[in-house]
Amino acid sequence: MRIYDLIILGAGPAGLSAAIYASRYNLDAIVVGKDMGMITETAEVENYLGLYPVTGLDLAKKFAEHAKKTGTEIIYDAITDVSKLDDNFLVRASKKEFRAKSIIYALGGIKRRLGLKEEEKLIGKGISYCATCDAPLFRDKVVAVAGGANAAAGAAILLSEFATKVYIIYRREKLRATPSLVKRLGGKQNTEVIYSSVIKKVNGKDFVESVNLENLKDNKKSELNLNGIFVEFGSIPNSEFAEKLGVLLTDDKRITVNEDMSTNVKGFFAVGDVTSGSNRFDQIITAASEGAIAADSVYKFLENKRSE
Amino acid sequence: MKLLLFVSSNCSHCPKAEAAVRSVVPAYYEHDTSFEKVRIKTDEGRQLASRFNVMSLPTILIMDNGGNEMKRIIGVPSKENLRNDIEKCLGMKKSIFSKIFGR
Repeated sequence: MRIYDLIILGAGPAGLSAAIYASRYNLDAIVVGKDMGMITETAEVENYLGLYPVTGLDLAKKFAEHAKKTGTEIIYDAITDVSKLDDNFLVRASKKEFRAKSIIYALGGIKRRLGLKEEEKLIGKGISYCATCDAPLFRDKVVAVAGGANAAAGAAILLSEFATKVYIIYRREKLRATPSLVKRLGGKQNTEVIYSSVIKKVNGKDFVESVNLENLKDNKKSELNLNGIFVEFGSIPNSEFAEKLGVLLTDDKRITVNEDMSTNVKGFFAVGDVTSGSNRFDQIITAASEGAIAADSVYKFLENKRSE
Repeated sequence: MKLLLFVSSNCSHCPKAEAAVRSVVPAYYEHDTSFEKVRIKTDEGRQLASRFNVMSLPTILIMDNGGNEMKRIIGVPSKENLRNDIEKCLGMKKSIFSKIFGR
């Protein structure tokens, strides 16, 4: 079996940035990932240097195009296992296996769900995890966004263009989104934030009809009639394969990385939202930066290995 | 029978659903099965999405010849599952119950 210098797991911004730098170092590398990552679900990216305005999907396509132009092979396939094999790593995807001397792990996060038992049966029937994809389907309807950080604010701004009313249901007393997004949200007449509240139940037989809310300050319960709920709670680090390999994780399951993006496992590097790097500032630009650093570190690691 | 595939250019998973449909459906042309891609940003697409209460992309609706919804598939189906759903709707696949009792 061919042994690559490097396998990059994940085809989002961190992984593709690593790929571009890897090709500059003439590393024999491939990228394996299920898709282009969560960036594709961002309605509008307004903070990536030099590219504005741009949708997350368009930016992801540009990244992939750029990586391919540098000669990177991207294999879109779901990863099923990562293990050590002698001095190398073995990556199993659903259709093929790959072997490499080093890994850059860029698998990002998995979107959080509401965590309610009725959630599964109403997915796609009013419960959505992608405002960018589904917002136009809620024209003239009433919707809620669950969450209060940047993703939630961005989703609410987008939804306000289509829905008659957009509620933001947030457990805290103040939104965590950046001031510029909060300001834009404030300018939307059809949006309303319901603070200190959580969704306890989603009602509806075939489609979402209402939600039961609970106010965390006074425990007051209420019901809100609506047609859709957009879940924007952030993500859980997708670090399972790394954990299985013995890679050190933080308490919240992020991969512990050093300044050079290395981990406690020799030859295993990690980048992007799955790590504790960049002060946990999960941004496209920090992911890209980490990808570049990791590729440089892999190059040095392989050079040292050769001279050993 | 007709498959309606609801898509949008903003939906990153839609091309995968379309690839699955384009790969699977031709095998059923001889069973009077066709496929139509519905772009929800067009007026017609918007109306169809509203009429059938489509709330997520991609969504595939399997419709009978009378225009009634037989099966709703939300998200990207595997080719195998899509084949199974089509064959069930065409009556090519029988349930365990009907296999046992012949109904």
